[in-house]
Amino acid sequence: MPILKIEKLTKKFVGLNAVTDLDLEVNQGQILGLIGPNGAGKTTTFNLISGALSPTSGRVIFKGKDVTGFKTHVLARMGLVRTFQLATVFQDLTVLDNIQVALHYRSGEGFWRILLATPAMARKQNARVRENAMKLLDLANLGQFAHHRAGILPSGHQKLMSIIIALAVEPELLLLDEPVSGLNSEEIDILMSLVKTVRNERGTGIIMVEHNMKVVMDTCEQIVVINFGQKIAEGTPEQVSSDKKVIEAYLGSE
Amino acid sequence: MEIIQTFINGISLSLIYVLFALGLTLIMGVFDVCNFAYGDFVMVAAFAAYLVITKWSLPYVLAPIVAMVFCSVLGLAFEKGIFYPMRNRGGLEPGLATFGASSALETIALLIFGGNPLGVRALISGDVKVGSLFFPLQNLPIIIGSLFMISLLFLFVQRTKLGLAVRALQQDQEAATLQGISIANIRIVVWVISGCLVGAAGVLLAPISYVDPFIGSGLLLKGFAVVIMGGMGSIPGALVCGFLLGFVDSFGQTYLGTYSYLFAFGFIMIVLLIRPQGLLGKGR
Amino acid sequence: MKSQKWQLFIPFIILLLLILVPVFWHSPRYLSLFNLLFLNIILALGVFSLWSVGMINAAQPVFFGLGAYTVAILLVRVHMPYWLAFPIAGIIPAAIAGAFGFVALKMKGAYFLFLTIALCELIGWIWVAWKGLFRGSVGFYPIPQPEIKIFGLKVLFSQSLVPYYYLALILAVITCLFYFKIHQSRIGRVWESVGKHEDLLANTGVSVFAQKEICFVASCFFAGLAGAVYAPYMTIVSPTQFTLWQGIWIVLGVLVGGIFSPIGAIVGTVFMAVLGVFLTRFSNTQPLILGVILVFVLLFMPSGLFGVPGRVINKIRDMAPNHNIEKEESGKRF
Repeated sequence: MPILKIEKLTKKFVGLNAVTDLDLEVNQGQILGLIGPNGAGKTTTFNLISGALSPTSGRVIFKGKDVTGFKTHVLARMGLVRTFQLATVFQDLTVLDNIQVALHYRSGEGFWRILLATPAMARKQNARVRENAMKLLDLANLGQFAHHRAGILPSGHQKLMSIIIALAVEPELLLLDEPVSGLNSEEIDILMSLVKTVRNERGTGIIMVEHNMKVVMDTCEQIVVINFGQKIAEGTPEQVSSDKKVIEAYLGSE
Repeated sequence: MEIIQTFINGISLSLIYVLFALGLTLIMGVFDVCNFAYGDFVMVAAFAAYLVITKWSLPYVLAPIVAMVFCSVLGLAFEKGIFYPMRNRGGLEPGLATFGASSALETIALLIFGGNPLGVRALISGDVKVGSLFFPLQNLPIIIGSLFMISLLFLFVQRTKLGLAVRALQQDQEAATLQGISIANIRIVVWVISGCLVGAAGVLLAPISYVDPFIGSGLLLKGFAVVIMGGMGSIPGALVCGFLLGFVDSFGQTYLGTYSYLFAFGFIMIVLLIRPQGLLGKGR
Repeated sequence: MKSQKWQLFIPFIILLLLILVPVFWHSPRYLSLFNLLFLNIILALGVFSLWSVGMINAAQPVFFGLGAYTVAILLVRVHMPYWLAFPIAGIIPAAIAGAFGFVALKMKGAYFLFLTIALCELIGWIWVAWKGLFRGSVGFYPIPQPEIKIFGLKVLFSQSLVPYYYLALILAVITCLFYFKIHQSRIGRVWESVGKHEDLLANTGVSVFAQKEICFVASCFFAGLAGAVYAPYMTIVSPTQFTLWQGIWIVLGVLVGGIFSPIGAIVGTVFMAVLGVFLTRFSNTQPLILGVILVFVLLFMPSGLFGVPGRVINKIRDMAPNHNIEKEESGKRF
């Protein structure tokens, strides 16, 4: 059973059909690329899946359950997590705080537990969350920056952090919105290897919107191409890169 | 019959609300900021009408022109002093600043004109009786004037290049510049247009209400309600909800007396509960 | 370690001084000023807290007033003992805040501000119009004094302001403890993220709306309790005591003090209190002066008085207050 299935997903704005009758399937542990020219509707699709927008029609089925119209935080709790292209991290918090905040829901400690904790209990609570956060940061070698304000880190590190933040939420499906935009080739390698580790160790399904074709072709097992909100091609990287319609779409838009 | 009379009573006020709401929704749609001083623009316009008509006894037709100029200049001052410098700071801080500006404006008006309500005579007075219905003639300039301004606005927004640029700016900063006009200039145009709208509203309001420094705040509350209900930035929304609230208000006054306040507030909250983005707003 | 103890030292000294004030100053005028200051600090902390989740509440006096009215009604009409009416005076405004917030907190910040202004007008009108329950513009007078016994001795609320001073001080200290604890904890970081990065936070499974609601209800609970102290202290409760204008003062205080930490709210409120005393001779032009100050602060000092050092310190803040870190920044926390 695919971890995510989209059926005839459609989103219409006044005067604009952003996404039309989109069908898509992602399996556990699969890395799927979602590509298309600028303005093709990729971010809108992500917004529709992650609950930031509600679809005009169509269904989103996650882990076999119809989750169409569910709110973002509910989906995140179920394991559907999304990263953003621009708002990657909590800018004004320290790197460590970023992950600790991301762990907040999973920590199970809500308002009352924290409010009524004695100093000894609080120390234990904090130590546990801190330990988990540092473990996560160490996956990307970011532990050394724990007490720096996240906003001053270079964009490569911030992008890495956004993956760690998503990881903290224990995702079963990860939506990556242009994860390597603005990174140099070294940073790209580090980030993509982290993504692959996540997939390998957790079996997370991954949908990646990316403009960097090399990364897409190298990493994705399956690719869906959309243009003007509609799917125009689907297949392996080899199939898609030789598809006439795809070539036309990209040449036509430049 | 009483219903129709209530309807007639409500027309003028509705039209003024609509003008005010149109100006407000334009500003809020483009700048994404609550302008808490907007009611005081009406106050400025009303005082302009007072000065032109009552104090200086100049021809009536000068009143709208002077009022619109005053309001546009005031709007440009707001743009230069508050909105433009704070354009990257989110919607909350400029909004608070306008609140401060509002207090300042009202106090200045208080110091200049005193707190007593002042009067402005209507352009045409008297009533026309049709059957058992009374139609006050002072409504006539209000109806003609506001319909004129509303049509001008629609023409501008739908048909002119500048108007399209303004609408584009509401949705996407980049798209707006495609017309070849800089964003800073589009912003200026928006202030001038809304200044004209609110100037007209103030001049039309002055004869049927009284003129004192605080008439702005009551209008502002209702204006915001209209804009929120209609959807921020939505011109048709402001139009429809302006009329709606004007008539709800009128009916409320007639049939519910002072409870109309409660009724209007409850109405707004229910609308927002069902549709948080407003009746005609763009949203999720 | 040493620097942490140093940090606790200052508030401790301040608290000690405050406890000793009535010993040296009996003058009712001074005690009044302090009383009102303590209550305003409670209100300001609530407004600050809600500001951190991105919402500005100009209607704090309304919840304050609801608490005061609750006590008035319960004491005068139902003859309930004060110790029972006191918590109820916190619960009722909190419940109303919960209902109001259910609709209002789903809006964007500027809309919420507008709705709080509308709420101010509405409730002010209800207090006047619903004569049966609230006794109209006349209000409640006199309000029976609380009867509290400590170690068998009756506390003389009716005879001097000193008991009220300590009551207000105790409530203010409890409120401070609450807010400092919450805002130094992970909840504080989560709330700041609600204010600044809602979408990203939602993707970590946190219900942004639930956090706003909790914050709002808590702030109105404390506001209500403050009202419960206010009512018997003033011996009169009437609609004119709780205006939008006061709400703006509170907001201004929080803004001026700096919206980055609870200390900013306290400092700003003290500043506004001093300013208020200074401005009483300019009552005509008060709105003008305040309006200008508001615009000025927003344009040029958006971090507030306490904001600049606060920003620097917040940059190196850690979320686990008791963890011993060998870095030099460890002792500086907010």
